[in-house]
Amino acid sequence: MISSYSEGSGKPEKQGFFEKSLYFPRVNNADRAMLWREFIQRRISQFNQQISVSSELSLDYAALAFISDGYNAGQISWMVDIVLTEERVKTLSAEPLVEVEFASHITAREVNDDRFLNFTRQITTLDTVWKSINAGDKSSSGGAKK
Amino acid sequence: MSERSSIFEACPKISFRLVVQPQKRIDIKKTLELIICRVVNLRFLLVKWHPPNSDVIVKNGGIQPSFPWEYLDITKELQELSISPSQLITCTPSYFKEDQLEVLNKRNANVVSLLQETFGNEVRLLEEKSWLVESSSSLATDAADAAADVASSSVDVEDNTIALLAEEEPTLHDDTNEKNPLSEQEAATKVQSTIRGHQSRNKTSEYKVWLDNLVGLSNDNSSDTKNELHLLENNLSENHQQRYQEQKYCKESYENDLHRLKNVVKEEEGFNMSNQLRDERTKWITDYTIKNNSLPDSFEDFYKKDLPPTDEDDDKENKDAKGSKQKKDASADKKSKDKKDAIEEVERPTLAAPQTILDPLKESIQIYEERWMHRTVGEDRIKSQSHDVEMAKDLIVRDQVRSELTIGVEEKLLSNILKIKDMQEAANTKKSKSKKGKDGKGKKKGGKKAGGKKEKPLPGAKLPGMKDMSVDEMLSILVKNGLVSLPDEEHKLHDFIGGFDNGRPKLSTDMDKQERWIPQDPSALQLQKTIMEYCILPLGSDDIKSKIQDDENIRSLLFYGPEGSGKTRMVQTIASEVGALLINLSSLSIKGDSFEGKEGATKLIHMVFTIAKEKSYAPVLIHIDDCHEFFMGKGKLKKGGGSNINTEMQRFQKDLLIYKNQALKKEDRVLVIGCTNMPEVGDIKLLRGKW
Repeated sequence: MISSYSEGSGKPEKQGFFEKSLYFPRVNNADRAMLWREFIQRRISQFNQQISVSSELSLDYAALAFISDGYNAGQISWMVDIVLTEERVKTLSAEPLVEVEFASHITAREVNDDRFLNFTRQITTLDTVWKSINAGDKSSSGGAKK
Repeated sequence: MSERSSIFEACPKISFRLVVQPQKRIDIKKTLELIICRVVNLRFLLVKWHPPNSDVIVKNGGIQPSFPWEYLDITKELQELSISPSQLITCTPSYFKEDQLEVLNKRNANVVSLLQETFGNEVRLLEEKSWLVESSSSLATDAADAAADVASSSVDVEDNTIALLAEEEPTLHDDTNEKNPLSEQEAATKVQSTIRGHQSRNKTSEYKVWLDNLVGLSNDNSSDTKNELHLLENNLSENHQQRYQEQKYCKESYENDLHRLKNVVKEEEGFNMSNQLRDERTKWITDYTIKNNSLPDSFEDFYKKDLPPTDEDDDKENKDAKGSKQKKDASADKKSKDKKDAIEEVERPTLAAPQTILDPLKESIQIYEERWMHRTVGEDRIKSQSHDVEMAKDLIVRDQVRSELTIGVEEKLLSNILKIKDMQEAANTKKSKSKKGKDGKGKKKGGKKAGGKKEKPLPGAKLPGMKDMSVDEMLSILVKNGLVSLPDEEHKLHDFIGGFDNGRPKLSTDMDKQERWIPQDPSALQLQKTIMEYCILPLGSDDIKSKIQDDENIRSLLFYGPEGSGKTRMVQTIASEVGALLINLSSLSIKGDSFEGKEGATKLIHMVFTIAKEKSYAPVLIHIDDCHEFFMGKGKLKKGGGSNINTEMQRFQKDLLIYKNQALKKEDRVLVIGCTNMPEVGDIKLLRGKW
């Protein structure tokens, strides 16, 4: 049984601006591997449509995803654009692409998304739900003692 | 669920997209739009009634507070049903843009000409962000050379990773070349080694092909099938293009023919029709005069007589019958409601679609079956894709002609009635002069009450110069200030790459330090689906927007997350998918003296929302980047916020709230999207909507 619930003492809550909020999280390891592969393919096909990532490049995307922990789609795309210049794409057949070319732009990053988690808790009223659950537990345990 | 998505996907792609007959397209479109409304409706119901995580369930039979988590974890259900998650993803119906191509092209041409006037040939699109990556620019430019050297020494990737994590980048970068250029011999050796390497790689690949052929693992067949597939795809796209041209031709001829048919029907049937209309109304006037002993003022009651009694009337009758008993019950109910205080009545989920969607859907399906099902088979099969003239006459033209004639007939009859009334009044004036004065006063009072509440004028409308300014002038001001851009055609929703499952590994815990449940991050596919149902589908057409239920009409959305996670790109994607005009409000784009101070802020917001509400510019996306700067709390303002936060944007807060709530109506195809990577800086009460 679910009922709608309003916070506080029945007073209507101040109406905010955004009716829905969506969280765009940090990219996980598996998605990063997909992103590396897709961005490299797209960048190469900008200059040369005949080169296929699957058949002609032998990059270890899992390794790239692993070392780029903490990086998001935007940064990965940016790094791919920097490394794969038009001249570099022209020389791909002579000098195959290697992971190190990208790796030289990556440094270890500390990932801390607690602030987003806290915000998610607040904006989804999860904190309020917790409070009401705790209050319910206390009152029921208090009643049992009496 | 899978059925829903597959049907929905099939409708625009296979059925609606390829139908050429213009009248059939209209009927299918009606059904399709109702299905889209139902999809949006289902989304809201699923979010509302999705059972919360076991850790947030109230024990001991207490009342369960709602926890509206947007993302549904249905992995188990999908596994049981053997359905791939990708099947749940719906595509944007192509007709969203194709059907209003002319309007969109006209709008885009107008905006492009304004943009070119201001910025020359460089048409500005939404600002692409760049990120500081922790490596020097020299490293970036020489990366290719350095990597080639490292590649030749066959360094393992994992070793590189460890080396990189230990910040030993310089070891990868051979910058000796810059300081000491290679001698001729060394250069020649390097060139030779590169060529030899290239040749040996070629040889190896040739040998591999030969070996594969020998063993039977040749890729030749697969390349043939690829070519065949490519050819088939080309053929398909050519056929689609041909169909599209046919659709365009048939639609144009249908629209032109409607005008011609109107004149034909007027000439052929107009006389009889107007006679019939006049007879009906004259008969009603005589009946009315006999019944009420006075002439009618308007024809409102004439139309009411054919309508069945409404529910409101029934309610009124019931209320009168129950009388004082109900009053007593109501007072008792009130008391019990007061006791419950904040807790509202317990609802139960309904599986059936709301009547506002279900009834028209049934009707439209029935109409389709009656009109079109028998024509697709047998002798009645449609031979030509051009429109059916008789059907057009029956459904549209006769109604249009009748309504035009009705206006003429009613005007004539009313003018006659007024003349008779004037004559009657003139005869009565002498007798009832004193009474008239009193009645007049009473009427005035009544008139005021009937007028109802007047809408408050928006704050920007009072400002000097705003009243007389046309929407085109407003648009040109915004373009000159670099706030308007056009969607980039390249962005598609499925370009938001990622998997379906974004769950944590099983070894990790779902609890935080205080042992509270952590909601799982949404996956890319979940976000795609949410964006489709909240943003893209409702913005598709005016009909969908007006049919969507009031509480399901989303006017503003907040995207939050770390930088580079795709928020701005998603805004561009939504604009691109629905062909929306982008108005970019951010602290970086709102520059210059034009919008300074509080008055400037009101002026800007007034212009933005006036343009957004203009039908010829629809759909419009208002993008507020770094929206935490616009919605900061007073406490945080006093503290000064962060060093990088622009606190000046606060002045837009009040007007944004007023205009979003008062100016935007349900039928306006406008969506405000705020993006932030520092949501904690903003005031939660200002950011949060109604939950």
